[in-house]
Amino acid sequence: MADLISEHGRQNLARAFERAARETLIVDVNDQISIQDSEMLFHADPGQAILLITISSFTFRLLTIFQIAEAPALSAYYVRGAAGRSLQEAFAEVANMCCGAINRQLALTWPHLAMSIPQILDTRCLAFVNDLRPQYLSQYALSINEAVKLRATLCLCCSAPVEFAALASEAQESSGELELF
Amino acid sequence: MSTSARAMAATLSDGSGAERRESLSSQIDALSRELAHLRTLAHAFERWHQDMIALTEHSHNINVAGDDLTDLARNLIIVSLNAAIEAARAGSATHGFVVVAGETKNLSRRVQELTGEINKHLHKSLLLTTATFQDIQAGGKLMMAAVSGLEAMSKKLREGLD
Amino acid sequence: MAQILVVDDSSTVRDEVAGFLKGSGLEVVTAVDGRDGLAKLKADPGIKLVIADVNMPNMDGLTMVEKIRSELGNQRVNLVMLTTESSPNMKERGKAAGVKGWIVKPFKGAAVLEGFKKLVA
Repeated sequence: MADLISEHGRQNLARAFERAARETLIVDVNDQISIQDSEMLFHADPGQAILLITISSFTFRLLTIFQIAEAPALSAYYVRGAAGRSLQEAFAEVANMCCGAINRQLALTWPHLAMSIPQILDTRCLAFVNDLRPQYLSQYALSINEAVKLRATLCLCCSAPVEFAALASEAQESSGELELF
Repeated sequence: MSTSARAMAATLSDGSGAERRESLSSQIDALSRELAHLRTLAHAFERWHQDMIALTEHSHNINVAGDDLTDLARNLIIVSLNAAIEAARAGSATHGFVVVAGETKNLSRRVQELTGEINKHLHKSLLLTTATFQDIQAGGKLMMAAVSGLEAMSKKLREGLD
Repeated sequence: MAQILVVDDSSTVRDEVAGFLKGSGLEVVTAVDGRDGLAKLKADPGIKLVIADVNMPNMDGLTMVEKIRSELGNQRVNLVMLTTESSPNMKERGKAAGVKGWIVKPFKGAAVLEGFKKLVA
């Protein structure tokens, strides 16, 4: 089967993820985030969970899978102030914002896109990601302020040729403001 | 609204007959393009169909493994009962226990293999099911939004004709 | 009697938005999904503004606003979406259901407060 996504398309997709991660995974604007390409790791660490969100279009779906460990550093970073809130619940909204940012970039090429709600699964499910028959799979090791560690996997399944064009410049459209109809 | 709809609205106010005809014509072209785009939603239905087939096959595998496990558990109970009866009849517990211990070890190992297999099956099943469910969740919103976009374009076209 | 209903499946967002609005002197109730939101709106006729997410389990936000329109009528309450979605087609769907405004998360408190106050009045 011919490649349904070009090398250029893959790079743009990776760039879209990195940009979204930088914009949404940090809590404070002064925090430092590092995003490294990683080899595919599927081993299950006890105490980890995966959080899955799907962005769908007609001819493709993109799964973003975060691996989050119940580690004190991670909890302290994302669960701020709120008593009784779990890391998974707090991170679910962060992941939602991250995929929203990916979505906005993909929307430059694809007018038809929508997102699912996040779902938490056992880490052992990650081992079967190849059974989704992806055309593109990549994994990243993320680290915030060198203390908070996360992993993320992008999994693209497409049934027709897919191109992700060059992305907009750094200037974002004004989000956060009330657009009145 | 989308760029094409905005462009349509901008050209609407032109007065002359020829310009009006041209603007309406380009709006109809834009509508046709959107409809052509919508045709590709067949891909989404096809992938959900394929996902369901894979999930059904996979569920079957889990059921088969589950049945094997039930059979094994049943065998284990039968072996233990038989050995206990034998031992009671022979008046010696030792021989019975030896038999049970041997059989149990084999069966336990097989049970562990099968539970391991079932666990893997379950995790695979969970991932595939969740991925499909999320795709359908997003897909439904996608299609409703596409319909709304077309409704808006069609409304603008009607306003242009009036 | 509450003035504003905030509907979002994320407790982080509910707490943040409700907290911000209460801090500005407004009365707020919250709901966890579209089904809950519809029930709470029907139960409290004093609610003037609904701020809702799109992506929620059980009933998504756009389905909820369409039901609000068909079951309660548009005149009763103002509807604003607060969501990570920004697709023009989705905005059209919201507009057709009577949604008055759209905010892409994260919301900027100071920028939206005036708009909210007008929609509650």
